[in-house]
Amino acid sequence: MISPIPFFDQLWPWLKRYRRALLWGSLWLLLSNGFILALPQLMRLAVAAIEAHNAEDLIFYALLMVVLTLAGSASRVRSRLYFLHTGRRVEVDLRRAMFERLLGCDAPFFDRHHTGDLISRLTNDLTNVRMVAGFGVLSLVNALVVYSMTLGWMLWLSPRLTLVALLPFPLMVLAIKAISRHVLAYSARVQDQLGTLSAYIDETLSGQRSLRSAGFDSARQQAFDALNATYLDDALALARVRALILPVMSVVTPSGMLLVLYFGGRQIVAGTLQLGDLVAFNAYLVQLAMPTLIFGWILTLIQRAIAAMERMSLLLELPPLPVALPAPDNAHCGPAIRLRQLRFAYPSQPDKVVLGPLSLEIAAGGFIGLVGPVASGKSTLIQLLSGRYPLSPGQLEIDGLDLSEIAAALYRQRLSAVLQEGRLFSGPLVDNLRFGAPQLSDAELEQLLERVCLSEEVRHFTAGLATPIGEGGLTLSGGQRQRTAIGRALARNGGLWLLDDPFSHLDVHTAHVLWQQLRPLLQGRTVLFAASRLALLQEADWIVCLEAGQILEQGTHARLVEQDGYYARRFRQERLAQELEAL
Amino acid sequence: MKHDDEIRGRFLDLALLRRFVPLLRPYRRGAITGFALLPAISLVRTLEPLCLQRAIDNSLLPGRLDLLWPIAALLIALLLAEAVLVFSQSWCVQVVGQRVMADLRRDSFAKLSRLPQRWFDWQPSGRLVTRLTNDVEQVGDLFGSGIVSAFGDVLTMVLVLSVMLSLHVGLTLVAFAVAPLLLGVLLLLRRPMRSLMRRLRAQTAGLNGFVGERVNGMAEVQIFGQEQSSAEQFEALQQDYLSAALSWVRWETLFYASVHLFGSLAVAAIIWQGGAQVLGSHISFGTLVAFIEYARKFFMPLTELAAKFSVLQTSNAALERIFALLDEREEAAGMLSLPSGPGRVAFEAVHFAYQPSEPVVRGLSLEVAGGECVALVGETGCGKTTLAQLLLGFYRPDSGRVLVNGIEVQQLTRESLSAQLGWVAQEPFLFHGSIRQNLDADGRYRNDQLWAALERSGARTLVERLGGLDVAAIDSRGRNLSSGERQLLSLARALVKQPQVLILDEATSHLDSDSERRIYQALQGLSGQCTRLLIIHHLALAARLADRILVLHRGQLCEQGSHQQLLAQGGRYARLWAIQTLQQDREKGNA
Repeated sequence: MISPIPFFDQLWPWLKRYRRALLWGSLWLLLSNGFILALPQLMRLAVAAIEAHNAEDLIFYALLMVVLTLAGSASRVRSRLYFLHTGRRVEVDLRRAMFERLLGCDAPFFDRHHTGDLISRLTNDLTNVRMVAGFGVLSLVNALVVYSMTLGWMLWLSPRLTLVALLPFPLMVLAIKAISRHVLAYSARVQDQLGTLSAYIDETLSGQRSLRSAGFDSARQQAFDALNATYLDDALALARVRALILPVMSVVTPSGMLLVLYFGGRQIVAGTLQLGDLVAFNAYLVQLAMPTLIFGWILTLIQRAIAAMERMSLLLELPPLPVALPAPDNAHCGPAIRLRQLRFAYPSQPDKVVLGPLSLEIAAGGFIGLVGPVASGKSTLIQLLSGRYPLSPGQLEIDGLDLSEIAAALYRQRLSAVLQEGRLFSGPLVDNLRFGAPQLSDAELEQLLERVCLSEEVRHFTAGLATPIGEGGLTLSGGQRQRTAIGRALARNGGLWLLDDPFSHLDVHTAHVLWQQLRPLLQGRTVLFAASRLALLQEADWIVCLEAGQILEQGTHARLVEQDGYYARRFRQERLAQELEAL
Repeated sequence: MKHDDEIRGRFLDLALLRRFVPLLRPYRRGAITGFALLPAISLVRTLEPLCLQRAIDNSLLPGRLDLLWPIAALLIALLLAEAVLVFSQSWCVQVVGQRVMADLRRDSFAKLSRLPQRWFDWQPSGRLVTRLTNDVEQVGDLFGSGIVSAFGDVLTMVLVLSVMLSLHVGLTLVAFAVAPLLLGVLLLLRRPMRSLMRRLRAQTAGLNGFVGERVNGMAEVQIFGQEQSSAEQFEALQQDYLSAALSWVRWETLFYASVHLFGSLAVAAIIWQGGAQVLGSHISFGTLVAFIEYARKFFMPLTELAAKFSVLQTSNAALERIFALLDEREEAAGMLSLPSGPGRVAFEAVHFAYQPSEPVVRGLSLEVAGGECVALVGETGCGKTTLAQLLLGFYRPDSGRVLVNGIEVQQLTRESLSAQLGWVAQEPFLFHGSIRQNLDADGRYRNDQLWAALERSGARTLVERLGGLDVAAIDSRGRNLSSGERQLLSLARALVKQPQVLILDEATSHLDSDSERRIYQALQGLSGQCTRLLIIHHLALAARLADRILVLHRGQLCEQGSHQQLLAQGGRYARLWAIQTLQQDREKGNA
């Protein structure tokens, strides 16, 4: 069993904010247990009253018991609320902390970690920690209070009987410890097996057609059955050790009671103990049963939370999100850009240089076209300019300043970007257009829609601009998504435009109309436009053809056509294809 | 954000239960034992306080310790019996539950292979995996922690109640005077709690959805500088969640507190009334103590039963989803086996659409003679790959017929189809395991046959490098191999069964020219033995290899003939050829 101490060290900073609530909760818990644990005393007195045939006292004690019970329940409710609410609050705090740290992470971080894995840290793992932060802490404190108070009362009633009654408990602790070791080992195995099973099903589903055409269906089923059988065996082994816990737990208290009955009985007969004392004593023992049962369960909860906290600390140990900076004055001016022997490899594959060495000067307000086959480095260059990948100093200058030294938050305020797989967000269409420019007025929005050729289609939407567009823009067509993304960038009105094949889902005609409308609006902005359709780049100030991360040729459209190289061939091919389209 | 995985199960669903019970049939002995042990356990538990009563009344109060022995011995025996019974019972129930789960997993997995391809197109595979794992796990709870233990709880309560009644009717009535009140409170709490639970689930789903979407769109969030606003939006969702969560905690606490409270009130009532009875010597003191014990034993299962609501609800919902999967309409299985033959292929006026609004194949007819080598060419999206999928029987045409050797594909058994048609997919799929498992999962072929196929596909050196046929050299999905290597192995998989028809879908797109040449030599070697359908983007290859070239355009056959004939026609093919020649010039220029 892993020690829970370091885990609580990790948890404490998050609980600390609510220490007042925890303190109040503990006080109420103390009070509640005080009331509840006074009941056996009253019972003792009631028994004495019965023995003394004193009806008046009996009624008084019974009434007092009712009052105490009510008070106990009420204060128990209060204490539970303090503890459990704290658990939820800690959950919300932790989730906020993790999400905000995620927002500050650079692109290599997201390349390294799968979305599903990150999300599960914010969901499953967090739930496991919350259980301990709320219910776990409550139960631990409660067990502590109940044990110490009960033991106190029991000792006060009869030290000898207390010793006798507690005899079975160490045995139980030993037994539970042994059992829980097995439970942990088996549950780890079962979890692994379940993972294997999931992976196998996932692979089968993905390769379903290949399986079918190869005729492997039955062999696949047999292999699955074998995995399934192994899993069953382990699950049964786990079930067997688990089934041991309950009988052990449920036998402990009664055997304690039995011992008390025997030894206490002898004392009663000898006249050294009152009958009421014995009854009260038994009642205390009963009080111990529940916290003991729950305690065993909490231990397994803590084990799970330890693993979860460890996974969550990946996010929690990141630096917090930096504060927002005001927009720089030059946000709408196109910067001058200089690449100096820029070399780049993705951090996941440091040996594979995907870009460079690349040197290039882009004047402020210039329109640069980027051309090249798949994986030539166009998208990578655009990614680098978006500032999401850390670069070593001296490689990329913006207006004469090294990009690695400019505050990312300031630099990004100058950007308007349409990425290749530009993501939209669920919610109304209008929220997506206002994404980077919340201040946009309705009139400006209308104009924006006009400019990106969307107004006609939006008019036909049932709820117009307020139409919800589903996760990632699911309900829009590919072309509508791209035009929305262009509108979003236009609203942002940055000085540096990064366009990564933004018209790929539009037909040739729409693409041209849109681009013609967009061009005049980009006056004075620096534009980097990676295009698979060369016709859009004819007006570019300069066109760079990349291949394997390096410049293959560069020049104006006219010069490149004249040179009759890669660009010229691509251009002719495109024209022929267009004619073919028209056939 | 709602989807069908959200909980909508009911606490008690008889229709579902009626379907669940037959699943227990193979394990009826275990299940019946599990049930049968419950009365025994309840009995033992109800006997224990009786012993206590006897001990007090007959031995302690009169001061006759010698009489305590037999009672103590009996009590010990009862305790041990309880432990053994509880263990055996929960073991039986677990065994049955686990076995039923294993059966459900097996049946669901088998079901997957009988479902039509179309169905999979609309299923996110993640959700299916969840159905076969998490959902099945939850059904395990339905039997173990659900039905059986609920039955046990009810049984215990009934037994306790009857013993109490037999001990003293009046006192029992006093003890349970609070019961209707408790019931009323529980009923009153149930409705708001359920709707609150739904709200909480929806909000959790909303939070998770938000995180997922922002993580996927992190580039946009950061480039547009929306970190703060995203954090604010997230915070708004969090606050909604928090307020729902806090009030959930309040209701839940109230719920347990009321059960607890009424239990304690019952005890107080017993002492009050019962004490008076003892005073009046109407009942013995031991009876009073036993009564208090019984009241406790009555309210404990009641709390448990209340807690079981949500367990049952969740597992009912899971079971419903699994049954929905098992009820999906299966693909009608063909009965005929394919006669041996040269592998004639024909499409007759075939129409097909993945989605009704977008037809992909539109009234296409074509014929391929046995042993012929035919190339299908055309731009992306013209329906080439779809034709292959129709021929392989993955989809059925909406109208028209697809024939092999004159028999409709959908009338053929799957076994004979997969034995007689070989397919190399555009993105070939390999499975985790050895080369042998990937070529010959059933172990039908001899080593020399496998090696021959590997030799012909040009994968021999690759397999030798990987360490032979039986080393588990391939990662899941063949991730550790390059696309080209996957294509070679996939071709070997198709060749080893010596099919009548071989379909290659851009099968050499990821290969270097050397391997490509080797493969096409192999294909020429099959001339006359096997019909070959090549889906090719590269026209020069089509020109070299194919006896006949079919040009597809928008789901229809627009031209066909030999390379020379088509060039001479000066139509679509000729234009495509011109474009690709420019491309090749460039490649030459590079070299």
